[in-house]
Amino acid sequence: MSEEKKAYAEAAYVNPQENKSAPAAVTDTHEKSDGEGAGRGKTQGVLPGILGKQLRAAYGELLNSPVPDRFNDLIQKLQQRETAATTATDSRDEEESK
Amino acid sequence: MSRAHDGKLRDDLVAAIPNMRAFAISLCGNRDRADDLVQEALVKAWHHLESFEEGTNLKAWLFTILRNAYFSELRKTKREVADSEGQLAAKLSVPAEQLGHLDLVDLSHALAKLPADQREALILVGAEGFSYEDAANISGCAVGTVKSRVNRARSRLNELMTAVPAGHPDAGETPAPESPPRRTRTA
Repeated sequence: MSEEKKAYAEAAYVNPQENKSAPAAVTDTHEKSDGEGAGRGKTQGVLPGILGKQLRAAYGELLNSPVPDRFNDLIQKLQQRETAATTATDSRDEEESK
Repeated sequence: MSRAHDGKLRDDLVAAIPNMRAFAISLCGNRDRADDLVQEALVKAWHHLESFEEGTNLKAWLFTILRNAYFSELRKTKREVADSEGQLAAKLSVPAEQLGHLDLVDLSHALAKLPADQREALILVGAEGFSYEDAANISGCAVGTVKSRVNRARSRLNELMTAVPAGHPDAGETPAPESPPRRTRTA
């Protein structure tokens, strides 16, 4: 965050014309950190407070964990099988040939 | 349905895989089992894409397939293994090393102690951010049922997470309004 801010500041210094968005971005950052300190319960109404925050953090961690290769392989296999089926029934359809 | 559109739908399906995994892991508490469930759901979804109603929520549709796979498997397992849902989930819960953050470990243990229907409702609404209506559609129950499941899950979780094991340095008084990590939580 602070690096981003610095980068914005530097960019603004070098070329103030092109960085209309810089002040807004900096304000954003301020607002965010303020909100984190004070704003409990103002996030999702369903699960306010620490429990909700923890749950979303835990879930976020799961969301961001890398997808195992088996799923790429699976999708590829499904796609190939389908392509094979399509070419078998409609030999003119070359759209799907990779 | 045009080919191009099919392709887009398939891309969306692939893009939903991380969500499906997160949901499945949260539901069954075991990564390998979760990935098997996701795979099963993906194959089913892929072969029934034509039954997906365009313009509706694809993620909700996928989650429906996934949770149905989970619950039907659960019913089978239950018949074989006479084990209460909570115990089963606790046994299968994610090993601590896989989570890194102690708070999250506590949370996952607490989640594992919830009945599956409450856990599902809590994750759909509280973590995935579905509306009560979408969650009700996914779980095949009334909106009111989802709401009460979420409420029960929330109060049970609060109980579980505030119960500090005896002998823990934090046992006893825990005022701490700032609530630093690893202290007793109040929501």
